[in-house]
Amino acid sequence: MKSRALGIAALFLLPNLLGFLAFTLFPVVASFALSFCRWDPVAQPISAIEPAGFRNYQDLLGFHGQTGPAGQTSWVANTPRFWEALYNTVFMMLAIPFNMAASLFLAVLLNRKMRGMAIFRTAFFLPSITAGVGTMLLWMWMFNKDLGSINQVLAWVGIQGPDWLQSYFWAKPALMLMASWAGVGGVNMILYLAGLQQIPRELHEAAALDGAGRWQQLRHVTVPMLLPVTFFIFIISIISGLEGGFDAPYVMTGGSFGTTTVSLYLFRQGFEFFRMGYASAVAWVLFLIVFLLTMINWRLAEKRVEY
Amino acid sequence: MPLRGKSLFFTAGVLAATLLLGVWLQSTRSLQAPADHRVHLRLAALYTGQAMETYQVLVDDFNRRNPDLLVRLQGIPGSYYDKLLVMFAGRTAPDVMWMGKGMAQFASRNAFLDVEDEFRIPPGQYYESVLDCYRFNGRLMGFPMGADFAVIVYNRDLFEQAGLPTPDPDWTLEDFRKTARRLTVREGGQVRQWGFFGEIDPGVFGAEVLSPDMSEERIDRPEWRDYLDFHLKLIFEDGSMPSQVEVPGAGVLTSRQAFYRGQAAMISDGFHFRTMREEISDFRWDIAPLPLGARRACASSTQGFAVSRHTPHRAEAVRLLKYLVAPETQRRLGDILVPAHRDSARQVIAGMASPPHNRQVILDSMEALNPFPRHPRINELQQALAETQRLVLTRQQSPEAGLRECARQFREILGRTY
Repeated sequence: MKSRALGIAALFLLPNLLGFLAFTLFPVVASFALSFCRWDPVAQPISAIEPAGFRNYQDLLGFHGQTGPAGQTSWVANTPRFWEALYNTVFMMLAIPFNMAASLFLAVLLNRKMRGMAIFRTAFFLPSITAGVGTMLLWMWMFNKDLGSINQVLAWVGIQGPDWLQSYFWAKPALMLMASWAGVGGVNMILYLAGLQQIPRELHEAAALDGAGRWQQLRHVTVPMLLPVTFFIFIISIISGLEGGFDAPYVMTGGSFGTTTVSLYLFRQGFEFFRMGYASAVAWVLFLIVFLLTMINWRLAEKRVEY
Repeated sequence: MPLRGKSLFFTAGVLAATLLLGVWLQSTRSLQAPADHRVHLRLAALYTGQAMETYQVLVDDFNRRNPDLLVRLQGIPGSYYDKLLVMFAGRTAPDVMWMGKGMAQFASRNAFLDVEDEFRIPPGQYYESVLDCYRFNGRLMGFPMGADFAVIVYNRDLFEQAGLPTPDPDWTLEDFRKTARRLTVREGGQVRQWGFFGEIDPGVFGAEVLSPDMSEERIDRPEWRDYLDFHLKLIFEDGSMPSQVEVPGAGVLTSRQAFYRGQAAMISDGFHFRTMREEISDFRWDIAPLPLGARRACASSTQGFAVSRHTPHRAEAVRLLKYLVAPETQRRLGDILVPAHRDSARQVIAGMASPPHNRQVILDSMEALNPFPRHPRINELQQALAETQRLVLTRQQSPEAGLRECARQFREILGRTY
């Protein structure tokens, strides 16, 4: 009877399992194998894929000595563009702590019981479900040096705004600003809101009886109780920060002015420059970075987060 | 709740019945339809409204003339070459496909059928520089329909208001700069009207991208420095050109929009005269050649078709290709681009509506086309160059540093063995 039930369960799981095997597991395994190969999908049929050993990884992560005009030798990355893309990605992730704090702040504000709260919650959540490219086009106009509303507002207070999207210095912060606008009231806020509603009311009442003010309650009750949620959001943000950052630079700057992220770099190598093996190696290096960072986070969290 | 015997039987029965019904419907439809012995071909093209309508008319006409074939037009909107790449990787590429700037990248990877022996081309009948864009190792790997190029489009009314004569066909870079300065109008410290908005092709300054055998970069050279200096002077010294660099889709004011609004007196633009005639009604405009520098040159792009190397219907696909690029077809596409066939180009230009009035400029420009070298890594090279232009022309990098870095990137790209 038990085996029959298992069989039926497997039957129902089969469509999903087949989808997982075909569209997730197989591509993952294939990209790992491809990262050790040279494959130009137009020039070579799959049967003619050439093994390349660690060559892709060597190109990606390796350094070579270069003799300067004065005869001195310096170490130069084999592919400086990759390191630049990694730097850009990490730089844009600096917005994560701010976004998390802002999400928590919003969640605390929206956790009150008052009339019309649903409208506020919807309003703050709306940017995260608005069509990405549409909002990007809108932001591109807002960032416009001469005609954009941001610079016009800055001009009212006597500040001459920069050319946001065409400046090596400002393009990254501009993209970070837009991402924050879209992300602060999104899923993170919802998770915090759910976390806040899980905190037993007695804890706040007890703290209030002990004379704790709102700030002290937030600091000593709310924040510690939300640590598991915070940790989860942090991990997810790190992962999506490293893997993401594709669409905004692709649409808004074309990856110029220091906005090429690792994911955009990967896409270009694979789909625009036809270097599938190398692009696969980039993907796996990215995976390793994500994996290592997540492991470190888990280790750190073990000591601090209680469930 | 686990499924009991009866409900499990019922669910399985419903699924089986649905499956059988589908099979039965499909088979009756096949029985009713007459046997189709035609060879089916897929023709892919970048989906753009105006061109797709024309292509569909051509396909319908071809299907009528060739009852043994059935061509289906597949419009691919956006990311055209990325999607072709995926189709080639999966060996599901269309039989015949439209090609533009991606020709070199695909043809140099042996993606297309060699059609050299299919076309007998008497010398001088076609623009050689356009044909060359489809030649790899001396063999035709596709065939061009025509070319697009950059000329100077100018607002005649603004020239008259500034007391300037219409541009001389042999105007020099210095004449051009002076004209752009005279046409620039400032109001309250802000530029109300730019003299020029666009780019003068690097070829005008004698700049080349690669050596003739495409093994060495030619970037870190005085000609490129001249090209950058000229544009920097227009932007920052004369203030006659806007500083914003046109990044595709970046939401900035494009040169064409500025021209339509009367905010730019001259722009460099391609063969979009039909659209311009439709859009511009409140001022007179015409075209002039790019100014003369070290040589006559103008940026160009070509369009044509190629046959997939993997097509199972080679003869039929070549028949379609021949129809699509025939001089008669090229003339029908004369609204979109200038035919690669010389006589057809002359006929199209002669029969073209006005403006532009100075149509000789179009034919002269066709003789001075300066296409990007047909290197297999053309995409990477173009991207590195564009990045340098953007950084230097916004003064975020000096021309020397920019060209040095660009040359380094070129050497890295050219030196890669795979």
